Amino acid sequence: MLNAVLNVVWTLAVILQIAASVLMIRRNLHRRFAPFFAYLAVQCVRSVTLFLILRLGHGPASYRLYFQFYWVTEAICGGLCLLVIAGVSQSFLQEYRVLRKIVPVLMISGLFALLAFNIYLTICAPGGESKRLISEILLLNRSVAVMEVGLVLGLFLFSQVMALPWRRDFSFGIILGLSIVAAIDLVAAAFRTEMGSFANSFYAFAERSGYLLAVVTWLVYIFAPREKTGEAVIIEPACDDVGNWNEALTELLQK
Amino acid sequence: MIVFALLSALAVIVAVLMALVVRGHAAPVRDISDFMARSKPVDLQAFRNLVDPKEEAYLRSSLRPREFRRLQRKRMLAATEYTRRTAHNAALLLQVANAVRRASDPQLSKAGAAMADSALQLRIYSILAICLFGLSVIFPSVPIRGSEIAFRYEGLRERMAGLTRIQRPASVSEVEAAL
Repeated sequence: MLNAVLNVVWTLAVILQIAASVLMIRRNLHRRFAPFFAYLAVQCVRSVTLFLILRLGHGPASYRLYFQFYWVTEAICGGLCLLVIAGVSQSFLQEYRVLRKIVPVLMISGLFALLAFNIYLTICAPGGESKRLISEILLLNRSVAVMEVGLVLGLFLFSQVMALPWRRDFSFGIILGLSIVAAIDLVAAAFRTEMGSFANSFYAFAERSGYLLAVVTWLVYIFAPREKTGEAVIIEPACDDVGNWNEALTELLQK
Repeated sequence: MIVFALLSALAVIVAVLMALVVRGHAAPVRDISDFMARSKPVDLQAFRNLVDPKEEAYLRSSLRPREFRRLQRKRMLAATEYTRRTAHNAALLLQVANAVRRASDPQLSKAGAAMADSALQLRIYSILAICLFGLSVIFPSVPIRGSEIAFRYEGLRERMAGLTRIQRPASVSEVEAAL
């Protein structure tokens, strides 16, 4: 029963992420969000290849191939995900001149803090997996999830404290989807690391469901309207005040 | 199991923040009347007096230490309230500035960007000042320099008045009174 549900979730996620990639190309978003497009493309190739290995392969050689391909692509996706989160955060925060100097410092110190937290976690809770290789892979996977969650947590916290408004555009959708993936991945990876192979099914289900939710989020935000200039001015210009414009603007810009 | 609980808590915090961001920290400022309804007025003269180092030095020299500490605590609590108001208004002004920044007129857009920077700077200073004033309530004898906030707030208020003068000259005095 669980396997059937897993297959449905997986297949749905594959179809939707292919649709999202195609839509990104059609709406010319693949150039503007190149790292995210690369992430999505790698996820597409990964899902299809893993599905094929699982369906067509037999025996221990096929399992080994599945295992190696799964974890290698997981590492690539983890790296790309971090890159996308860092990129979107940077472009969001650097809209403000005041933050341009602070943002790199904050990001670097945040990354070092997360690294230190990961080292502490690895020492304190090495996990309940008996096989050494799997244990190390799971720890690495959990560490990447901690980094991802830490980055989005920092970004959301900072934007809330500073009251920075988010525009409801595709870059917001990207960060939202990746936050869903990261948060669910973190809980699943922590549980899997703690409980050992006993939690395999839960891990697989949580990971795939989280990814499906994220893909749906991206699809919704691909259709988000682009920001247009000249339509969002709050204080509507009064037609009879044209004479005041130059005078007031000059005064304002001199300040 | 403690690590699992800790990491799950982190994930829950992310989910809560995500919900807050999606819902919007505050509803966007719709127009100038909405802005005026939501802003919190700041009595700049009173605020300046509270954070004036000369005023503080005068009180320190003319009062007994115990009386000074008691009075200084009250002054810093009042200054904290004013700073909270400036932080709140800075957040509203940031929304207005971001909207103006998207204007098709390049000069107006530039003015909006400059105002966004000022509002953000004020917000950062206000948050730091709230922490400092809080410390000053605990340790009233330690001198605190908070006059920068009043100065920056005045500058931002002038910018907002300038923007209003460009677009709605009739509302300038109302906007100034609302801030």
